[in-house]
Amino acid sequence: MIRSLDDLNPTARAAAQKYLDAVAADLDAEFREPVLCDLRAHLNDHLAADATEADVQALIDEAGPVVTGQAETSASETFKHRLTNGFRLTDADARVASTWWNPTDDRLFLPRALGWGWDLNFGALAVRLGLIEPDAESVPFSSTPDSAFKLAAAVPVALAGATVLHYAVRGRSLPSSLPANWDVAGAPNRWTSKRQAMATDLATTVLPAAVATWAAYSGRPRPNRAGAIAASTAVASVGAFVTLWRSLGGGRHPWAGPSMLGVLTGSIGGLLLGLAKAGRAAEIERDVHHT
Amino acid sequence: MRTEHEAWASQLRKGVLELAVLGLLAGEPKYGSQLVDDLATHPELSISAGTVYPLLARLAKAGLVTSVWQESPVGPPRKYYTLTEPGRRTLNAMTQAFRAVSATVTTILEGQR
Repeated sequence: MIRSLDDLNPTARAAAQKYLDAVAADLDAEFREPVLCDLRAHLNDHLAADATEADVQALIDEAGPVVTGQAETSASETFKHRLTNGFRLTDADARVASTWWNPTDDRLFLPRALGWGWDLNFGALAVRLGLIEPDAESVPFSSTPDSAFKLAAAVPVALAGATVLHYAVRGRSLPSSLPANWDVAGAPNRWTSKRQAMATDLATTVLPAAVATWAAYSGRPRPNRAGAIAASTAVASVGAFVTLWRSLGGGRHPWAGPSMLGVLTGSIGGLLLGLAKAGRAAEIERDVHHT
Repeated sequence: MRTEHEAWASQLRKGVLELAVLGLLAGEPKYGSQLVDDLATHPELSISAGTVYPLLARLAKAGLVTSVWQESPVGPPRKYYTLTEPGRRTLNAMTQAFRAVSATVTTILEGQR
């Protein structure tokens, strides 16, 4: 037993101090002082003045790692994760799938897959509506057949086709300026040239359709494919709806904003539910009808 | 705001949840909502469906349980979970560890009286 680490020889004291410094670096400020105080007392109680560096190391090994009992993620870590999670570029499509469709998580809103905020968890909504079981697939979309992805990609392709057809057929008869923005009452408050409106609408429907088609025929993991097609459908739905809204010209259309929201959620939710149901059916076919 | 005791009790329940689910599957295969109902009969564990299903997915991923759809005589097909051999070994090891910890803590607490 020693009164303080100063009673040790220099090498043993250095080893003990190095251990305490390493522990201090890993501890939250809240716990640092009391834990270090207890550890110093532990070392003092168990070391003799003639203890060697090896004796100190043996005592440290016997003590094992210092655990503060913080099994749960701290609030600051959770906040930091939520702040940065939506901006990670890796696996963005898989993140979309696991956020927009997470039937085993009963929360209706989850931290956004892309950007800040919250996304609707269509999986939890479908479970609450009794449309599917929470564990219908072991991993969502992992059993969804390739044909279902190809069929799902047809949704943004159809929206892009409708937009192209709209401008091909009605393009000449549309006025030279079209609405570019609307107020809460659904009345245009900013206008743009027909050419610019057409370029924007074609870009926001044709590009997502191309991405969805590529995803459907790619060999990427199935959850990634589902995420890419769902995100593409979301963008294409908004693009197609805006095209329609522009063609209405001036005047108030208070139903348009809520309708767009309905089309957006309906298209994403319907598409993800369809893919999940196809996966469920494939699992049942595998387990029930092939055994 | 949760008290220190409530936070500790929550941690304790989380710690034994995996053991409880594996234990319930030891006797016979069960489907998801059956497991949730069985766990609901033990209110002291206060386990909800939102906790059980992610856990089942994690156990399946770890190879401790396997799932298979089966026809139901009273409705749509159900997905049944079964312990795998590694799952059974894990359950045995966890049971031994839990009993040892439980017995030690009980001895300590009884020594205080």
